Amino acid sequence: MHDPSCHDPHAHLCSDHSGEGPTVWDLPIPQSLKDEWLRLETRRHFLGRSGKALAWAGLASILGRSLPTAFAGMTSPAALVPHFAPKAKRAIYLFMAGAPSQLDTWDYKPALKDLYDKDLPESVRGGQVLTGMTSSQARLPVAPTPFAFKQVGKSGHWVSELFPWTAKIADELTVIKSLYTEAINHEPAILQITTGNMFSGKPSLGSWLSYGLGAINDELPSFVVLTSKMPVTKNVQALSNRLWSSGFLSPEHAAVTLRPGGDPVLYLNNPEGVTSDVRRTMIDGVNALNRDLFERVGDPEINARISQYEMAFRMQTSVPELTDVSKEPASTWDLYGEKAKERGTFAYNCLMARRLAERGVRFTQIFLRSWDTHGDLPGRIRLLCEDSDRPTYGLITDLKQRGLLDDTLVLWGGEFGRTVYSQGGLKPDNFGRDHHPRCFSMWMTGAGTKRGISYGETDDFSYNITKNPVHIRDFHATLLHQFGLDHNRLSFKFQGLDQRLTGVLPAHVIHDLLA
Amino acid sequence: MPSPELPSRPLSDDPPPQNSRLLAVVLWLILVGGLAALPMVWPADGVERSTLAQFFGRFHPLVLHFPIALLAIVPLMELAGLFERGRSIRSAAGFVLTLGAISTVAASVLGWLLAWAGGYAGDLVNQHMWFGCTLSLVSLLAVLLRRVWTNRGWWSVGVFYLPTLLAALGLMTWTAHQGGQLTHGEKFLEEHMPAPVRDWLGLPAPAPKKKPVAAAASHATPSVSGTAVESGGTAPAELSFFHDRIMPALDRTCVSCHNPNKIKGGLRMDTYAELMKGGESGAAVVPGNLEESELYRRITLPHDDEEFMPSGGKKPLSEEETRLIEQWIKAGASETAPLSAFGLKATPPAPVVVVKPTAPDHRSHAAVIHAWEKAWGLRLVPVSQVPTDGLILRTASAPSRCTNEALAGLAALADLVVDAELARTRVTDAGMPALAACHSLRRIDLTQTAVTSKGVKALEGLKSLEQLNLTGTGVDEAGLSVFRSRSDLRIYAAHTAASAP
Repeated sequence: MHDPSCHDPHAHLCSDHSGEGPTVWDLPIPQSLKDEWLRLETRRHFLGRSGKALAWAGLASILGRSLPTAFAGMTSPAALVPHFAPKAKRAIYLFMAGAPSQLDTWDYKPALKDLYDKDLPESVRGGQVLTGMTSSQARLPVAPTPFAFKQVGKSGHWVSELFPWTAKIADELTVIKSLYTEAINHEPAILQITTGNMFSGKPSLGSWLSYGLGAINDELPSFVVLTSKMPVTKNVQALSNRLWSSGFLSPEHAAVTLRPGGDPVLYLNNPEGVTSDVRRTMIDGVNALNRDLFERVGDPEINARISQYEMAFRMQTSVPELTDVSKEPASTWDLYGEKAKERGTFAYNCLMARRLAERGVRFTQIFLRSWDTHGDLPGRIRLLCEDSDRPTYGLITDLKQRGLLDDTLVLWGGEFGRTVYSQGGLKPDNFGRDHHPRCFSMWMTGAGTKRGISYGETDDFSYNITKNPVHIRDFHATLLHQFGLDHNRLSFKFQGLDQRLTGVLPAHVIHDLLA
Repeated sequence: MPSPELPSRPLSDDPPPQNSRLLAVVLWLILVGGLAALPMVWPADGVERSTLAQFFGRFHPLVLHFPIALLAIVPLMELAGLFERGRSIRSAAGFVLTLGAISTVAASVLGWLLAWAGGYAGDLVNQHMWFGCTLSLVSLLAVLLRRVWTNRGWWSVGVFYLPTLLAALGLMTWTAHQGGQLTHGEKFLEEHMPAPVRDWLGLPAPAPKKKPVAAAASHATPSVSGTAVESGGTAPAELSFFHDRIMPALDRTCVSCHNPNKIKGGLRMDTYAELMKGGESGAAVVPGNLEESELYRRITLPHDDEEFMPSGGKKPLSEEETRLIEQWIKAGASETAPLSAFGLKATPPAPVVVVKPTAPDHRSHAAVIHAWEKAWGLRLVPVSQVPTDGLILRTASAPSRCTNEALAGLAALADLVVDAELARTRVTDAGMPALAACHSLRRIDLTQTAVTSKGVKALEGLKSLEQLNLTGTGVDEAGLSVFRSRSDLRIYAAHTAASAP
């Protein structure tokens, strides 16, 4: 039984506080610091409380009134305000999981036509260690793309015949051909591009934005993930919530996923016989219990849980409104295609992304899987592009005409590139490509990007970068920059380090990509 | 009881004989006079002198630590005497104090040698020297007073012992600080001083570190809406070769010893005029004549040569910098010759970034902002941490709460709002005049509101407007015509009569 005197809401330390006079909680210390203290408290209970209380009192008296400023920006961007005026209010990331081949999409290499089935020169490979899937291959025969490319628009982008719709908006796109990563397998690579680190447990892009900027619309989560039904179901990479988790940040910064089938959010609808009032009463009761627990244990995750209950309650009204497309004008279906009417398709998700952007969701990430074309690349990539090309065009066009592209950053790309040589047998129209971390392509548009340019160059084999390499860190720094955030300053103290999305190695905002 | 035949008290407690007291005073006066005379007769004038004097002078940094430690421990020893067990410690205090005073004199003499023979000059050097001499005298005085104090007790001239000792400590602290400034630079102690301590001492905030021009330009405030980057109206005159290329190198490498506070070798290099005056070895720079220019000779000597500059293991000039200095002297060592005279492309004048505040500072309106937010259940959020970037009128959480009345309530904050997010709100044509009063507005989003061409007309006067989003509203082409001529304004009117084919 706990001491009844604990019901004073300020007596957080009642278990060893006599109840007389002010506690350390009355000190003018920012909430974020108190939270951090509590986090340490749960872990290191045995260190004893009185000593720490003295330490806090001492700290507060030494630093006096300058304490909040002394710590501002160190642990938490308490103000949830960008460091400088942002270009982007929100972003939509079309994530092509499994890694699309840059050779067949955005990095056109016409010279390869004459090198069909020739061996990849060792000077190009440069002793690179290959994956186990091709390292034992007797030959590494060059596989030119079987697809035709043509130059389009004012930008002069070379666009693959796989993208007849995207070709129409090529002038909007900023194509980066020189991204690179260190990881050669999916899980580390996809973690690195979604969380900035090959090891799991770090906050994802959307979580950092939610943590740094807060929500535009309190009725919806700041970070939403949409997974798509797949047109191809070979070589599918599993997705997991590691890719959109909040890592060491508070759990409320993790993404809410909208499922491709069934209820968009599990158990969002009240069961039969439960009215909204009943639900409200229930949540109030649970919250009261949780607050009581928080007062005794002091684990800030309990507060996060309370806020998640509240968010879920609000989503009971906001999500049905979000997913109700009955009022969409007919022109919507002209843009995104009829497939957008089918729940869970990539096209439907693109439409959802626009609707989420309209409603102020900071970061929407759509996952489309099965780009991992180790075999039968021409056939599979054709299906994938047929599925995603028109909705991509529709999304950009829709955002543009609604004035949303001005402050919405749109990104398209996978986690690494694919090899110029064939994995397994090579026929002109049938071959596979293995993983390739040394270069890959992606594009972005909207929100202050320099549209219609191509950045970075690779050699004739699209194997090594020859100009303007862009590490994933640089890409992340640039993304944060568009949101008005300095990647060096957006940090969170954890495990003794001021943790950042871009890690500890130097990262650079690529100003050449920005208007 | 001691018998009359035996000395009644130990010898040391005898009052000092008259003549030895006289001797002490005379000795003291000679020291006083001598110490005061040294800097007056032979001042530190920046001329470098005999190497032997310099050799001894360089023991100053070693010896000066003795008085610091010895004098500082004396008060502790006196305090220890307050306790029974500390009596023996106190009895040694006189010895330590005497040792401290002697070492103070030694440090002063060596310091003078260093300054006089080592080619130092300048205000700080002189001040340091005088403080050092005064410290020596005061600590010697303290030695004498202590003797009186121990012999005659408090009710004598000995009562001045403790104040004198404290004065010596104060002088020592300040003198030591000055010495530190001479060695490490004047801002050495302040540089990493925590802001609260700095405030308490009333020191100015540290100057921001200079950034190279090029970097500063590329990082210039990402040209956000409202930040005008202009190649300033007062285009700076073309930079001179000397000031743009030579002076920065001298600043980094030479000026720490050749400045008005520490005029080594009688040479100052902190301004063009002083540099051209030269020092004790004659002209540092002879225009057009490399061989005669001492500066050039010294910087091009082998690095282990004792005359090589900069001395003392400081980072030498780079080859490129040396080459520039050579070029500059050959061409006549002018202060004003422009970069172009050296076949160098003038550094493109750093764009003068005129940051026009987007809106007035919102911080002083915090109470009004908060009251409005509370009254309407809507938000006014800062665009960024720059307080003059303005506020965003944010309604996404509850668009239905935003009505014409809420807009009218903004009157007192009108100039602060730069971005009105009014999509799907209940504002109508009647609310547009209130919006038009927000002169700082850059962006207005009226998507899917009941606004029509009639209301939109009121917004014509918003000269800073960059984006007007009327998607899904009741506007038609006629209503937009007044805006169409503005090339700096992006208008969106999809799903309206205006967008109909």
